[in-house]
Amino acid sequence: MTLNCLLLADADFHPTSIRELAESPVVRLIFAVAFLVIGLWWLLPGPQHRSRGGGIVFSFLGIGSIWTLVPLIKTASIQWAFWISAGIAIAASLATITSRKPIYSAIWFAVSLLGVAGLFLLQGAQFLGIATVAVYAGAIVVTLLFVLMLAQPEGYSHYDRISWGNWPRIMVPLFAMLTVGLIAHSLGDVNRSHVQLHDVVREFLRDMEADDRNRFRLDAIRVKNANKVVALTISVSGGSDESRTALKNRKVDLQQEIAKIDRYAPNVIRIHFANSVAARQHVANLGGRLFTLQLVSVQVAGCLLLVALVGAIVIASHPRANERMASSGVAE
Amino acid sequence: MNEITLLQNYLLVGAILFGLGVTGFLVRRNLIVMFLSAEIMLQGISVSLIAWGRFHNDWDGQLMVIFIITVAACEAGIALALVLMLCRHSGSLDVLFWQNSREEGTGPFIDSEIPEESSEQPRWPKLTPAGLEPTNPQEELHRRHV
Repeated sequence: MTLNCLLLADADFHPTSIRELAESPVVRLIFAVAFLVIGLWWLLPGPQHRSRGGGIVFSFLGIGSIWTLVPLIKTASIQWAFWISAGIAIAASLATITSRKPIYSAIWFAVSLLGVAGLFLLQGAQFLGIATVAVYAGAIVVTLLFVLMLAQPEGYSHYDRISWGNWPRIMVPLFAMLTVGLIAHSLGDVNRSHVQLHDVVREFLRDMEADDRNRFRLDAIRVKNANKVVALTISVSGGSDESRTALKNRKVDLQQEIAKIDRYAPNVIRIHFANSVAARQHVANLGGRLFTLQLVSVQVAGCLLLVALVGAIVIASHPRANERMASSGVAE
Repeated sequence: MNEITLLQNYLLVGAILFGLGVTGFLVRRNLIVMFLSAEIMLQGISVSLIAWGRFHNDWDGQLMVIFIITVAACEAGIALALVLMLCRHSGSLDVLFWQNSREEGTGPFIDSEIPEESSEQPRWPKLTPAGLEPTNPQEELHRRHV
């Protein structure tokens, strides 16, 4: 993606109708970013007390337009599950940063965590979906609510409404949403031959299926380019033993099929029958990896937790703070 | 096409969550809301990591998210202890109170407009009176004589 395609410097781009304008991804991107910036500026707290309905409309228009830049998932059920989870996560995050009362922010953040947990579950990360809800929403948000109760019992204050004034309220959303727009633009540009590679391999696997129970599933394709040797590692799951050996025997055919695509002329193809990330016994596999390959990291994380715990207790029970608290308690 | 499309969608969600977190962190003044925005940023990153892990069929994406959750928990503990200390000293959760730790040479931020508080007055509900009217001792005294 070069900057040229961002500037409308294409000599052939002469839109004659709104439909043609809407088909160009750059125009959609500009509209999406503009809607998002206007929506965020409207929603973020400011000195005037104004209604937030317009801001919500603009933000949703912006999010909807930015979603036209990425293609739709073909399976309808997955697409709808994704939209619901992602919608909850994004809408709740929007409400978190724009609430005038910090207690509402904390509760909206808990809702956003539910959306993100849904996204994790959709990707097959079962342990992380539950861990997010248990650790984040269950522990961190509750601690946050306790701190809010101790520190700001009336629930809101004037500085929650002003924030840093008008200038950051327009500049920060502008730059943040420009960055998000650039990311969305580069996501829309997908390498065509990469897609073709996936399609070719999936077709090949589908041809190899004996019956319904031995269905192969393509998990991932990894391309390694080292010393001019292109190695493809194709991760496949499913299939019985005979079909697996049959697939291994037909590797040459697969190599010929792949060589028809422009960019890929692999020297080595490895077919890897692995426990995929979305496998059954997910937690057992995850635990296996965690406590064998990442054992040192786990121990370090444990030490970090211990240090953080001790540090928090030391900070919160500093003798000077205790004196102040005691004196203020006794004086009242 | 399904794997790549899933990846694209997830990365976009991660990017939007991260952008919203950055916006919230830089615009809001309340310490707790700033901390929540940092947590939103971490959630965006976690979503992207999970998506990449699934795309490359690599467990490392999920392992890294486990460590991110761990670090976030530590950060929450220490940050909230610090916030409590700051609040005890300053009496509010406003980060403006501590603006003297800003860069040298830049001027202080002064609140130009304090918003009116009148619209936030809570309206207490009015209950209809029910039950017996309480007896007035003065009235009762008067009645006995009559």
